[in-house]
Amino acid sequence: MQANQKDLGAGLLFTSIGLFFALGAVFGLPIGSASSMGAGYFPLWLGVILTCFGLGIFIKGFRTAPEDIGTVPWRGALLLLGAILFFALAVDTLGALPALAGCCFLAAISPNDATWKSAAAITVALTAFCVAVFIYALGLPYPMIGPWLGGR
Amino acid sequence: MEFVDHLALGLSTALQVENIFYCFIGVLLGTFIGVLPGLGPTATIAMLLPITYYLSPTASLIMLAGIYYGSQYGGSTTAILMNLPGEVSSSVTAIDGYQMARKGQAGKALAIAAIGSFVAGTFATFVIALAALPLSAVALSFGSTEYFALIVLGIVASTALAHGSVVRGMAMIVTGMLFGLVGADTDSGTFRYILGMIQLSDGLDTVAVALGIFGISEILRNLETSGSEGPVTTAKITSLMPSKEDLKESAGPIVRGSLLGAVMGVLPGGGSIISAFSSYALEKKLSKHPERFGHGAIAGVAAPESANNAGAQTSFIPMLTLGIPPNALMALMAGALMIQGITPGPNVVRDQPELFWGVIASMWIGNVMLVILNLPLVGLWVALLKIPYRMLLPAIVIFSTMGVYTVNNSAFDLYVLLLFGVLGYTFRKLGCEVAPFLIGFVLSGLLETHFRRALVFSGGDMMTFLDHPISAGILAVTALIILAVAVPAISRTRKEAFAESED
Amino acid sequence: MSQAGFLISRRSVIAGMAAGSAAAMVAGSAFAQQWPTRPVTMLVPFGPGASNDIFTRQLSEVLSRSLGQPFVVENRPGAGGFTGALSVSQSPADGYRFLEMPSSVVAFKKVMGVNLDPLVDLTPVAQLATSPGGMVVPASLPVSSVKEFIDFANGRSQDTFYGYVGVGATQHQMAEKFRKITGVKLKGVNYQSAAEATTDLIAGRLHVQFSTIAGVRGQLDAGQLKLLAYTNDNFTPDSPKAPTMAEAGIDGMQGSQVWWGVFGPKGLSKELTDQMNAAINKALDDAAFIAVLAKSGAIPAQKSADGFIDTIKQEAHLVDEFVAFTGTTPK
Repeated sequence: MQANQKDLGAGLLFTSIGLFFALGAVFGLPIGSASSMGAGYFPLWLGVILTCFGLGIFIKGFRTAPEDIGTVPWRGALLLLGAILFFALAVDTLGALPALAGCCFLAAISPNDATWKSAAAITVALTAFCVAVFIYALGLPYPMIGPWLGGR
Repeated sequence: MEFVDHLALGLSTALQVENIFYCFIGVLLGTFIGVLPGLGPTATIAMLLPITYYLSPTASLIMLAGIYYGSQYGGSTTAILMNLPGEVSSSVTAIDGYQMARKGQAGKALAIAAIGSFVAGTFATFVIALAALPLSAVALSFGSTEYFALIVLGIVASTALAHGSVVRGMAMIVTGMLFGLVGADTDSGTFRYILGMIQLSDGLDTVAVALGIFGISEILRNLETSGSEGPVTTAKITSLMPSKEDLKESAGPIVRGSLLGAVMGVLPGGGSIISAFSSYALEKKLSKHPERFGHGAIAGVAAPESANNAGAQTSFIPMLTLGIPPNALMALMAGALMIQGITPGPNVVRDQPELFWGVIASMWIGNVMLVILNLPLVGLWVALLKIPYRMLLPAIVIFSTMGVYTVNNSAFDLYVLLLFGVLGYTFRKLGCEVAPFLIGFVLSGLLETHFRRALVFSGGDMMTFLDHPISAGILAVTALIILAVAVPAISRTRKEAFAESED
Repeated sequence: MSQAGFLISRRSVIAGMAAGSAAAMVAGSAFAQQWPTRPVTMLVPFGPGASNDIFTRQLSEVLSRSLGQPFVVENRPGAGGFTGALSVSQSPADGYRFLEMPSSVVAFKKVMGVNLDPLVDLTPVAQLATSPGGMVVPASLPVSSVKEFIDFANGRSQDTFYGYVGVGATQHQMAEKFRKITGVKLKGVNYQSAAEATTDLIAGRLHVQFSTIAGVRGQLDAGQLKLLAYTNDNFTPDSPKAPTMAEAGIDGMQGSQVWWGVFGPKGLSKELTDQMNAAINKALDDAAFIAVLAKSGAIPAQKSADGFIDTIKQEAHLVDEFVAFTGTTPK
């Protein structure tokens, strides 16, 4: 593509966030007036301002030197985000121990140069460290084994 | 002189073996929870509250205060080493601190943060001892009208946080402001943009947003390059301690940061947040090399760290002199006093002078302990960076995750962490810096609340902002900044923006 | 990892500090029983530092000693307490998870419009304490009684402001009820935190506030604020002197007060409810716990679970009234 992808992308992103908030205010919130502002007054005008910024940056994208956004590390990103997601889903159901271990492991295999063996070793060490610090030393009240695995 | 008597009484109390011991435990504990991102001093103090029942009131307050400013101290460590700010104020430190770490100057950054914090802590201790009572009058004179003006000044100043395109920086502030409005509207209680999720009714959690937009997005960026050498370790680690020139360069920022932080820390309604980044903005304006900011300027670490620490200490003033705890943490300390049978309030100074002055003197002793404790640790923290990134990464991920989860014990906040991690990464991919976003995020709710409340008081009359002398003065300063600085700054930074493509 | 050395020293430090309470805990586990056999969670649906958080921590300390199992406080703030309350409501009713919540629990359904009724979705276990509301004005305000205040407010050309924290919160209810009964000209200003409201009250930007004595005790003692009246006579003996609203000639404010109570999950058995109720009522005899309550101007309420249910029903009635005359609609 000829245009500056960074400008186009940023412009689109700002415009859509701006429109989301502005339209959300128009259709769902009382706007009011400057001297007696409703809940929608601030977000409406901020949204409009952001939309203008976004459009400006978008248009600028056709005039500036082409520039692309580079690579995205899909495999690593999915594993990393999956690690946090796993913790969020597991901590209240499977318990703190499986949540910590699963999260550590998924995060540990996310870099391209990670090996299964070292990931497993890191998982064991880090989980033990977290359990020692958070559960025992700091006494945070999370059950180690959750209700789905027969704990409480 | 009265001041000398007070200080003597304070020192003799604080230097009792029991009090020194608990002061040490406090700062030690504080340093550690500060280093673990997310797990804040509030949660720790809450857990220790019942234990304080077995201590003397003075010892318990000294320990809890130590945890608080110790954690402020420790909080900059992960911000500098891994771009993981545990709270908003250390996100300012992260901007240049992390860049220094990437250049192999992590030791220098940590050391200057420790030194700056120590100077600021010492300064703030004397401010409290000398001027706690007059400063409490300042806190009282700030109503919504004045806070509104102050926040406007803060937002104007925060455009200086961006070191690339000014337009992108402003767009990021506005984006942050919009996300900061999610949740129940304070004035009417109307829910805004919660998309049916009741967990959002109190707004997006600040720690989750900060760690997501800084920390997670940074990890995602690092995954792009993940060879076994992480990006942090690629640069050779240079000397651990700051050189004479570094110290000379930091002296001014530390002094100005301490001053700004000490004054603004007294204002409970957002003063402490604004102080860290306005001191950063101030230094950037004053600097002969503003272009270095954002790329590892040592003043960009020294100033906000000093402001942050001075503010952390002077924020005790409203609680100690007016009995008004400005935040949850101070409320817990007030609670600790209540457990001991002491009513927190203005009478504490009169009825319990050894408690009041003892706690103040202990802050200085605590600061000495912190600097003794932290300077040797610098080597240890820097050594952590020698661990291959593939091993460091899971640790960063798990600490961020636990950190966010422990704030509210809420898995929902982890989804917020994820969302803002992705959003932050996207923004950075598109050439937008994330620091202005966070400032807008924290300030927009305050701005709106104070604006609307000021108008309720004035019956809808906009002139109220000019009728109040303090707010009129602040707004005049703001207008001057815009007029005098913004125009050349825009043209200058535009040139920079074209000169650099990637930060 | 290289942090190990510090970890050890820190853990032993914590262990050392905890030793005091642990020793007390062992000594206190006198009577044997089926429940509890493992740690019990006391959930506070607000952040640390709120007055009910401090109450709960002290209560948990006493219960840990008397029942021989640690009672652990967990803070789960969010949505005015709804997030935490909902989590307890949905927990298994096994007696290992309880909620501590002030009277605002009643406002969930009626003011916030979220679906949680304390009588249906939770099991009321015991009332902890009550505290009357105090009508507080800045020291600089030239009034010394409720009557003078009403005259002052009605005789002014400018607005007279009262502060409250949170729409529909008890303070808001009290102020609106006072306005309704007396017909005085008042305008409400909403605050995010009690600290902000108290600052504006001391500085004189607000003219009156209905507050628990706990929140303003220090300022009252120092003469920065004046107490004009209590909503009822249910206050601790060492509280600052002031007439009740009824004595000041205002009728109908007696029921307005703040209370704190403990709830179990939906469907908690009568047996467990009674055991916990008994344990809490016994804890309310503990001198240290009473002292913490008293410092907050709260007095212990040793009631049966049924008595607590009656209190909740009365509160529900008051909230209905508030909703009716302010025209508040659930969000």
